[in-house]
Amino acid sequence: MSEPQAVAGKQRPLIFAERLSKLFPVDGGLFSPTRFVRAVDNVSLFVRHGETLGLVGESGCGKTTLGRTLLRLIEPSYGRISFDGQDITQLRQRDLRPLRQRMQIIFQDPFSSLNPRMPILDIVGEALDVHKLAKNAKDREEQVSELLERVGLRADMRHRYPHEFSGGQRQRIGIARAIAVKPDFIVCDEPVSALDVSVQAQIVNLLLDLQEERNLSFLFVSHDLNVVEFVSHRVAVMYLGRIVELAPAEALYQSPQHPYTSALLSAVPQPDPNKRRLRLLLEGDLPSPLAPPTGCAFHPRCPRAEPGKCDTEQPPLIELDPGSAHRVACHFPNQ
Amino acid sequence: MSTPLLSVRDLRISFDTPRGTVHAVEKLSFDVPRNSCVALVGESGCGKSITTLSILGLVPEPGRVSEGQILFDGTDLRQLSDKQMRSVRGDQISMIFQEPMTSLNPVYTIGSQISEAIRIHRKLSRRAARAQALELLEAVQIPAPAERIDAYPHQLSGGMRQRVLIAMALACDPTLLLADEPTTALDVTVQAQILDLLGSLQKDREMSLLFVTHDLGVVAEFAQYVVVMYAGQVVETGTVDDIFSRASHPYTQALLRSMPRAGQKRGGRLLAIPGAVPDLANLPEGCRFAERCQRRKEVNAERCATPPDLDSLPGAAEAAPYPRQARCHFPPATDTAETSS
Ligand SMILES: Nc1ncnc2c1ncn2[C@@H]1O[C@H](COP(=O)(O)OP(=O)(O)OP(=O)(O)O)[C@@H](O)[C@H]1O
Ligand SMILES: Nc1ncnc2c1ncn2[C@@H]1O[C@H](COP(=O)(O)OP(=O)(O)OP(=O)(O)O)[C@@H](O)[C@H]1O
Ligand SMILES: [Mg+2]
Ligand SMILES: [Mg+2]
Repeated sequence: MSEPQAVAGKQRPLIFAERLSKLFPVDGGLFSPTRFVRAVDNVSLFVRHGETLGLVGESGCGKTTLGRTLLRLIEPSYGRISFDGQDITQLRQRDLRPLRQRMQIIFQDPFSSLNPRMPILDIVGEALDVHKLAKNAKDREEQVSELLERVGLRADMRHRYPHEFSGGQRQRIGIARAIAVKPDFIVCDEPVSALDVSVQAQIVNLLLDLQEERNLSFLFVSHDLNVVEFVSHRVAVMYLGRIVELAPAEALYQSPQHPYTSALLSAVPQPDPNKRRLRLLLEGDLPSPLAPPTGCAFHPRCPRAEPGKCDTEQPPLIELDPGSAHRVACHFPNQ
Repeated sequence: MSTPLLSVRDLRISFDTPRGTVHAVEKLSFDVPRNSCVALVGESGCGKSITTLSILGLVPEPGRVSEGQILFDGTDLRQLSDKQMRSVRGDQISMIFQEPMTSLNPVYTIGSQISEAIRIHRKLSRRAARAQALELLEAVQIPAPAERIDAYPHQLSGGMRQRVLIAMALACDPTLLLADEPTTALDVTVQAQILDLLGSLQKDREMSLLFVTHDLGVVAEFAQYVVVMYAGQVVETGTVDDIFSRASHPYTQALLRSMPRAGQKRGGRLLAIPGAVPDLANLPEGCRFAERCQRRKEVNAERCATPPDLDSLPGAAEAAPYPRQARCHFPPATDTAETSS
């Protein structure tokens, strides 16, 4: 076990979610009843102090919804969330405010998450104002300048407006805003997917530095499985609203147990034109989240599905071996 | 060799800002051959998006193309009237934008938006257009397309919105498809499907593809030719193999080193390029990468204070399938120098 995990293991988790679900109503049209998308379905997880939990899965499987629900930016339909030992599920928004400083989010969409009418100084400065973290105007400006430099932008850019920046530059402004208030927990929703690899390297290094300095915890959502492997202590794989595998990063990448995880890993594009590998292309269509398949949600696309079992019984997320940190929701794990 | 489908020559894109006029793109030249797939890569903010937008005459205010030619099938698109340009746009050239949310209209269903895109260029009844929209949604693998066709953009995940945009771009069988980070919002399995889809469409429809991406894995697996940009200029061009096995420009080499590799363990740090891109309003006179350049420290740096040209590399084959060029005073001695990975 690596050093940070051993240390983190002694502490109680910083954020803890139990049987969390989020249902979105979908208008079925004039004559049909309202139906629901189960964007997050009965998810339990925790993130320790100083730990990074990676979260991966097919687009639309509920990663963003899960991340936002953990912060109560989306209200959960069922389940319980606690932050640093305090149950925050029922907390009124007003009472949540002091906690907001401690839990931040880096939004997936850098285009719609910045106020177009504010210069960068105020977009980042506002976060400092809300939590009264700047002594005066000069201190505020200095802090913003320093933050911009930490995310690889230049301090003189603080007077510009969001439209003057490229996608990747805006993403970094969002990152500066999130780290400005020195939070304990950050939901990083695709924090680097708009960035080229050299800037991505800067940002990933920055997040790792901050984690070391301040014992920060991250929920790190990304489609880039190499980045997730590099930053995460543990990784959760989601499929259609549920966690189908959760394990220490090394175990998950070395010996994936769920067939969906295997397919995902085989689809990672390799930066070597002479090594175009064989992908385990998934058969069949993505199931509709409006009408998820019975039994195991993955069974219609699964090469190992057994009729009579996989299409009728939903596999629970259980330890691979008793006491193992590797958990999988599959009737027939790889082993 | 036939003339390329698209040839961008000495392009300059300028922005009038309160700090003066800045040139976000300068002396930019590159080609897109017929039936090919060209990747445009480079540091965030280097001008990839506005370059692709300029091809369609869509550089946002206060930006404008101030110099150069954009030759499409031999015609300079800059000389066309607005009306002529509108018929080129969406019909012969179409685009998948980087912003999946802002380029969809939040108040219309995705079905009506795709149908509209079809009906602008094809005389079809609403019904027929809707049927075609449904086919396109299926083609880009939207789950439950018959139900999703009446969904509004906010009801879809980021990845699904991106697939809707791809469907819209394909609506009119373009000969040149510009794609700005078409798969950035997608997970790897859907990305693989979409890239396979775009790849087979490119071949079947004899379409060319110019796509912007920062995922070098996608470049390696999907592109034939690569254009590397830095601070508004092209710094290197070549085939995929040239770029990945024989990168010449120090920036390209640094870019390749900064990637996390499969199996790379936690604990260390990635090899980032120190420093930041220069301010466009305050560019150095010489090489724009000089300040961050590793090679400059090893060579006679004085020459780096004068701007290098984008030159053919020594030893590049006459009949190379794609121009093999780099913008550096000190390209490695032979073009076969392997870059470490
Ligand atoms: N406000 C909403 N109303 C209805 N459905 C929604 C809403 N927000 C999300 N959904 C649905 O919930 C599911 C999960 O969406 P979510 O954005 O969390 O996915 P994701 O895993 O983050 O996807 P991506 O990787 O594409 O960002 C999707 O089916 C989506 O269409
Ligand atoms: N309205 C504007 N005023 C001044 N400069 C602008 C304006 N709009 C864009 N720019 C500048 O033009 C440059 C190119 O932007 P562009 O969006 O093309 O970058 P990009 O290469 O696509 O980056 P990314 O990978 O982050 O998307 C950026 O440096 C940006 O700051
Ligand atoms: Mg998301
Ligand atoms: Mg861009």
